[in-house]
Amino acid sequence: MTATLEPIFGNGIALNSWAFAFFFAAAVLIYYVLPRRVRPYELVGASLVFFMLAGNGWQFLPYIIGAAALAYGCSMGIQHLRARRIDSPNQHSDGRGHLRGYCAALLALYIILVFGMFMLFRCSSFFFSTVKGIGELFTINVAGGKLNLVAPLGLGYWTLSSISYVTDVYRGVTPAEHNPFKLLLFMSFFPQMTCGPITHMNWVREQLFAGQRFSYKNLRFGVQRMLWGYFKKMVVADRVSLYITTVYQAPNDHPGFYLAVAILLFGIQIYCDFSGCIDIALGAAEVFGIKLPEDFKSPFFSKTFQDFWHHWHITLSLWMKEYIFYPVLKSKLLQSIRKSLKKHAGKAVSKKVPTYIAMLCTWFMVGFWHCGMWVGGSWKYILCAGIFPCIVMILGDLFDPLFQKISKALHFKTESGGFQLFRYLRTIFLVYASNWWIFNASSLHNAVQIFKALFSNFNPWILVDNSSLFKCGLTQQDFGLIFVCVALIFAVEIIHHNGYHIREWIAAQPIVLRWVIYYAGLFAVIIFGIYGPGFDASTFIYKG
Amino acid sequence: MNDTELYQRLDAVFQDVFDDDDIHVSADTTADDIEDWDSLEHINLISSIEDEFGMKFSMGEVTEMRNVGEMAELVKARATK
Repeated sequence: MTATLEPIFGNGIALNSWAFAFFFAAAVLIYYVLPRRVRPYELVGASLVFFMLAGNGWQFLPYIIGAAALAYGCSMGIQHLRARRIDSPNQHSDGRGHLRGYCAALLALYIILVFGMFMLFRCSSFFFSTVKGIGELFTINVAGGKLNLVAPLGLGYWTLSSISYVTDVYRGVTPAEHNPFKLLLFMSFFPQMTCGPITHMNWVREQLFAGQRFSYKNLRFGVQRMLWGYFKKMVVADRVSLYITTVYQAPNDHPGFYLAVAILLFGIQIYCDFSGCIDIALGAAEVFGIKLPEDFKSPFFSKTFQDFWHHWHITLSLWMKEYIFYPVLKSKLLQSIRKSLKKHAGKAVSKKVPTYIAMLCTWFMVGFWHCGMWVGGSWKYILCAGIFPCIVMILGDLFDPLFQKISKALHFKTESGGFQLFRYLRTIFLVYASNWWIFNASSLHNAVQIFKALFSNFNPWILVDNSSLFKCGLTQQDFGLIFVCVALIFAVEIIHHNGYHIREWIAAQPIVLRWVIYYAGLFAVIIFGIYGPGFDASTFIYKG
Repeated sequence: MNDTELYQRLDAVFQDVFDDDDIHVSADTTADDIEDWDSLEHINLISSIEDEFGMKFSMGEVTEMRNVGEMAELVKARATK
C-alpha cells in the first residue's frame, strides 16, 4: 500500500498530496509573518498560486479573475442603483421602476454569464449525449461530439458562492464589497476550492478580510481536524474504493452479495471521502483563524429522510433553499395556483401542491448541479441526486398521516430507543435505495446492469466462506481495518451528536497523552493510507 | 394599526397556516417555537401574511426575518408607507 511516495508529488497539488502539505505550510508561515493588514492579500496570492498549481498552469486564472471582476462590477452597479432608488423618494414611480429593472438586468447578466460558464465547461457533454439520445429515439442521426473542456478548479463551488453574493447585494441583504481583491479572495479561498463548502459573503466577510492574529489553539485544532479528514479520506474512503471499483466495473462477474457489499461500502466511501475533504478544508481555514460553515452534522442520526438532507451537504441545501426554492415558491405563478386551489380544493391542497412543485424544481437543480460536477455527467445524477430523493420526500409527506395512524393503532412506543433506531435505519435505507446505489454507477445503463446483477444470484455464503470477498481488491486485513476505522468514526459521530467536542477533550489531556494521540493519528494516515502506484491523489468524489 | 391589533391579526394568520388555534405569537417567537414552521411552511406563512395585510415582501426580507418581532416591524413599516 505504501510502496512509494513519488507518485503523490507527480499528481499536482491535490489536498491530499505532499505538495499541498509544503504549499500549505509555506502559506501559513508567510501569512503570520506579514503585518495583519497585508494578510488577506497574502491569502489572495496563495489562492491564485494554488489555483495555478492544482489546475496545471495559469490558463484557468483568467476565468476566476474575470468572474470576480464581473461580480465586482455587477454588485457595485446594483448597489449604486439601489442607493439612487432609495435617495429619490419623490421620483416618479416609473423612474424607480427603471432603476429596479437595471438592477435585475445586472443580476441576470451575472447569473447568465457565470452559470453559462458552468454549463459550458461542466455540462456540454451531457447536452450532447441528451440531444443525441433524443435524436436516436426518432431515428435521427445527430452529428457532433464532445467539447472535452477541462473546467477551472472549484467552478461548481465558486459559481454558487458568487451568485449568492451578487443576489444578496441585489436583495439588499449584504453590502457590495468595495475592494476587488477581497471579493476575489471570497471566491477563490483555496481550502474551499476542492469540495466547498459553499459560503455566503455575510458568513465569512469579517473573518476572511480581518488579517487574523496567530493563535496556537487555531493551529492545533485546525491541524487536528485536517488529520482527521486525511484519516477518513486516505485510510477508509480510498481503501473501500478498491473493492467498489472492482465490483462496479464488472457487475455481471460479481453478482448478488458481492454487489450488495459494494453498495453498502459506497455509503461509507462517499461519507468518508466528502466529509473528510470538508474536514481538511475547514481545518486548513481554521489554521488561518477562519471558521467556515459546517457541511455535515451527524447525518446518520436523522429520523426522517428530509432531515438527512438537512444534515448532509448543508451549504448546498441552504443555497438551494434560498436561491431556488423560496423564489420559485413565492413566484407569481405558484402563488396564483395556491390562491386558486384554496378556493376550489381547500387549504391543505393549496399548501401542498405549490410546495411540491417548488420542491421538484429545487431538486431538479440539485441533480443538475451534480450532473455538472462529474465528467460525462448524465441523467443518472439528475435522477438519483435530484428527482428520486424529491419523490421519496413528497411520498413521505403525503403518507405521513397514514403512518402516524398505523403506529397509533399498533401502539408503537414512538419515543422508545428501539423505534428511534428503526427511524435511523429507515432513513439510511431510503438514502441507499433512492440515491447511493445508482450514484456510483458509470451510467444509467450501468445502473440497470447493477440492479439486475444484484438480484441475479443468491450467494450469501460469500460473506462467510473466508475467501470470495477477498479477491475483489481488498484483503482480509483490509476488511478488518475498515471495520475498526468505521467503528472509530461512528464512535466519534456519536460523541459529537451528543454535544461533546473531542478536540476540547484532547486539549485538556496531559501533554504526553496529547502527543501520543497526535502521532498515532499521523502514523495511522502514513502507514494505513492508500497511495502508491496507480493512485491518483486528485480524486475526490465531490471535487468541484 | 397598534401593536395589539397587529399581533391579533398575526395570531390569526399563524393559527390558520399551522392549523392550531392555541398558537399565540410574540415578538420573540421563532421557528423553533412552532413545530411545523420549517423551510417548507415559511413561504406559505409569508404569503398568508402578505394576503392578510395587502403587501409584498422582497426575497431579501423573507430570508432575513429571524423572529416574529422583525416580521411585525416590517409589516408596520410597510403599512405606514
